[in-house]
Amino acid sequence: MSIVFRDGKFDVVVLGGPRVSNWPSAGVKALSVLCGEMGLTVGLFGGEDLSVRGVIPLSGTGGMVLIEDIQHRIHRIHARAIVKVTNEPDFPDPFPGWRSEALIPLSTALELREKGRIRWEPCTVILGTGNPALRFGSSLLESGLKEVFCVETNPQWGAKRFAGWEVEKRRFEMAGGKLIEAKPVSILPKAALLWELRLQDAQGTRILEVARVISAGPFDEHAGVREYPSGSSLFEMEQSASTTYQKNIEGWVLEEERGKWLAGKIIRTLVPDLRELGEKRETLDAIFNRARGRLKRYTRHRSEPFTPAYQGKWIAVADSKRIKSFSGVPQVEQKKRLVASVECFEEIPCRACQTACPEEAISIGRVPRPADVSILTEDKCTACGICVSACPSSAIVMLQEEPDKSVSKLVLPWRGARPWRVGEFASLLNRRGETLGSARVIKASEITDVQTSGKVQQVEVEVPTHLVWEARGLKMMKLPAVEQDPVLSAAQNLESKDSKVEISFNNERRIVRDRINVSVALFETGQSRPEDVLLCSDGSCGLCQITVDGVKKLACKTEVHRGMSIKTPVKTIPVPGGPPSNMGSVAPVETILCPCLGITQEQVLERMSQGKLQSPEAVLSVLHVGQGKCHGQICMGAFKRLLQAQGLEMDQWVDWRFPWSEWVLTHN
Amino acid sequence: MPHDRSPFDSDVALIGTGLAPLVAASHLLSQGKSVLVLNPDFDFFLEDSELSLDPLLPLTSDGLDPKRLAANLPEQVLAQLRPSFPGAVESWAAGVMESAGFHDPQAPHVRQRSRLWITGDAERGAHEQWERLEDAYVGSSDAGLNPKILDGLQAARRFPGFAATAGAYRGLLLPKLCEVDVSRYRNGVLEFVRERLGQERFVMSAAQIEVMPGGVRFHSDGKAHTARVRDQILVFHTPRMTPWILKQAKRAEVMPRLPKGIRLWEQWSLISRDDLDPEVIGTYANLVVWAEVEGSPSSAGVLNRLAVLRAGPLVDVRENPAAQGNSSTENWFSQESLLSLSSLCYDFLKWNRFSVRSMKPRAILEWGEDQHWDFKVSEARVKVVTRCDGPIFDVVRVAHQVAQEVMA
Repeated sequence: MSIVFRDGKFDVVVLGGPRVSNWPSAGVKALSVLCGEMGLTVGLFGGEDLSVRGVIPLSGTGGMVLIEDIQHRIHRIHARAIVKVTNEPDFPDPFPGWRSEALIPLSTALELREKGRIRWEPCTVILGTGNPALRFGSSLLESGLKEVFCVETNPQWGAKRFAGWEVEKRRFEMAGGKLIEAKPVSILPKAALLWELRLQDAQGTRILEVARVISAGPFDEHAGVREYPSGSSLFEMEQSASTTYQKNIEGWVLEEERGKWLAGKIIRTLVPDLRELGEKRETLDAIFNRARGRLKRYTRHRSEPFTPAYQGKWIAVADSKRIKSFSGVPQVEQKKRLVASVECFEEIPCRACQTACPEEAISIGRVPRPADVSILTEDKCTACGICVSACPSSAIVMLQEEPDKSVSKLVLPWRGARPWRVGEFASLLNRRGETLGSARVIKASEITDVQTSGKVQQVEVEVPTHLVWEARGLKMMKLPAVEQDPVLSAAQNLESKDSKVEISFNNERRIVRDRINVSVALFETGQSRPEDVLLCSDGSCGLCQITVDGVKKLACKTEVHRGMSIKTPVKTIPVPGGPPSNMGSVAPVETILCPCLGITQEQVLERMSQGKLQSPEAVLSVLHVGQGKCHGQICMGAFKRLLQAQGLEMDQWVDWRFPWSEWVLTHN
Repeated sequence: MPHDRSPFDSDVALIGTGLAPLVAASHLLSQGKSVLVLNPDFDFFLEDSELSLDPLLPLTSDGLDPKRLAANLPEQVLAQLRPSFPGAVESWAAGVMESAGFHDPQAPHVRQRSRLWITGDAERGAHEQWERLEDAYVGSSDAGLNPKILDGLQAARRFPGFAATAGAYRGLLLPKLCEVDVSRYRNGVLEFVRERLGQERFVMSAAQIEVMPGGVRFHSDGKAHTARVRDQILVFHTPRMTPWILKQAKRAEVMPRLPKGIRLWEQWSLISRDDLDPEVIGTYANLVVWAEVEGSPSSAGVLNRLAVLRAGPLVDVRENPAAQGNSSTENWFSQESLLSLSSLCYDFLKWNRFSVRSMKPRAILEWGEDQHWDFKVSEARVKVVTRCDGPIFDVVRVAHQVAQEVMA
């Protein structure tokens, strides 16, 4: 075997970890630009062509990075400061059945939604109530799914009982979603592509029949940037930004500010005398302090939430007054003409409406919002409706209140699968998704394809005047039969224009779509295994191994072609909850924490108490959690929470074990 | 030194990290001494400087000295480990089911395994290597270790992970040597000593440790503390403690006794396609290879992780081997490392691919004939204990001996 080896040196190295798909993301760019401007040499390593194998910490500060490029050359890079960017799927704390194929992380669900034809009926449950969870739930409901639940397993988010923004929760509930506080108890197989999910809430046990359980999180509050060991200049930064700003505004701005803050910290560590920076020093200080302040304030919506109280279906008088006096809501102009109403009450780091408004009528600002500036300048608003489409959370409407008449006008955004037609009747929903009354559609604009928030139609309805401040959502009163029946609807979807091919799967014939990822094909045919749930597409977990035409391959990196023969290896690790053949059996109490090695939660706790282990290194040395095939991609989140619950300081801990994903070297 | 009593006042102060100060503390406590343990790290085993076996590398006459080989017999190892452990130390045969009687599968254990050194005729330097092995055969035969010379496939087939069907090899097999479950052993000692000493006398992350007349001063939890030490201060020399020892020696104006150097080790874990035989630990070139297994033989299950311990270069002890920019790190996870691994996996074991599951770098001091040495700082007597890292049974033996010297 010939090995080409190259050595290199940088001041700062930023590395894309396993599953980091968006490279380089907003935070990485912000960090590298700022460090470069201050005179440090910066290396960015990640993406498809460069596989970072891991970091070896050096004594003192900095470390050594091993990278393999697409031509299998190995690069060994010395760096004074290292930033590892991670995108770990958030799995909940283990419970019986959590490692069945029913439970998938949100990243997998998003990819399946985009690329696959997956069935989500009759019900989909999302564990977690962060913005990505609520947003995904809303998109499922808007596409026609009848039942979606978002489950909050740990309702302790400052002064709030859910993790996301109020506007996202509003959109979710108006679309028909239900947000509940409960803990998952078990997932048991019930039938083909159907699972029984048991949840324990304050009232008792709730049993739901679900097609999928999606793990979205967040399940706890954790630092977005960690340094471990302290003073080592080895950092880990979470990737929260999507490919575009609007797809996940919160994630984007958070990551950007984290990048700037971390850059400031690194520069102050590596530059021995900051006076050398000259005038740049002031710029650096300003950026660093601003980023630090913003990061603290971006969680302000949790400490100062807006959760209006209701009296029946109506908002309580005090909160109704608060809404009407909010500075984003028109006070005068709405009685004369149609005008926008920016009903975004929490201080959140989103300015999509301000950016979109061509008349500069919206000044929502950054967090904190300026106290002396009105969010909406009513005079400038021309009711063009661009802000209504631009708001990703459907928090902006346009209204014309006519107190002397029995009906008034309301323009609402609509993201449903079927557009509205003029003359149709709609059910009016309050901000919690409860039906208030009905209205007639008098105008329905063309659909705008907003890159960020998908297709948006602006629907103008005539509403009873007393509902103009209460109604904020629409629901179709009567759907065509084919759309009401999930089976017919699914059958209709199948008549798509995708070409199909015949393959052999474990010696059985299957018809699947051509040229799709084998992992996606397994999901579509209901043959997916627990090992396929990560769908990492960079092969980093190495779990989804299959044999294709006699050759071992990874399902996530192999495409379907006509006539291929796929075989899946026999399972060796038992999955709590049992395979389908054990339908109806009671799940065991022990829950597997590390499924690759079969280590249970109970084993971890027992060893910790036996040995009075007081550091994560000590626990890992005796238990090897995260040293299985997936290198901790599935289990480390729950493992850290478990250790935190036992009193260990885990907030800043980073797992620097090498390598951080399976490294296969083949004989050339 | 203040005359007020401090909760840290002790007969003996032990400064260092790793297993050695814990073993010494355990023995001193059992003899009625009061002990203060100061660890500059936040965890005792960050350096991970105890090896589960004696690598018996490099292949020199010292490396294969019969006395050194005999020290690897299970009986000898158990004799070193058992007195220093506050509980049972089990002894397992490599692949044999448990014998009758009560056995604690959670207890630390000594696992019996044979050692096999192998060379291929076509390899460079094979002839010189084989000559050393032949000398070792003679010496170990005289010492009653029952060595065997094996030829061809008979030799290679016993090597863990060997997958070929032909080859010209020669091997020296020493049956019934052993390796130790380091993790359970040292965590057991740690737990015992911590419980006996209590939080106050068991100080982690001790900073700015200074030897004062009659005792030591240190910082912990942001506060300065002073401890009077009546008998002795013991410092356990591992790479972590080298800068501190050099500084104290300079202060005392004495020439420190330093090891020959720091040996850089890489411990790899590779995934094998086939089951591995846990009976033998093989040595090929500068690599020690064995099947990773934990616990009792019956609980082991399918074994497919191959541990490979590679001896790297010897660097000067004054150079921090892990520091960035250090020229000695050129050989740490270097092209030579991967070439050694590929030579093992492709050329010898005849695998067509291998998967790296983990890699741990370690730095362990290598000593000549140097014994422990003393110096005085501010009228306080400090003893620097050498050979505190390496094979665990050597570490335990040294710590036990030094504790007995203190008692004497």
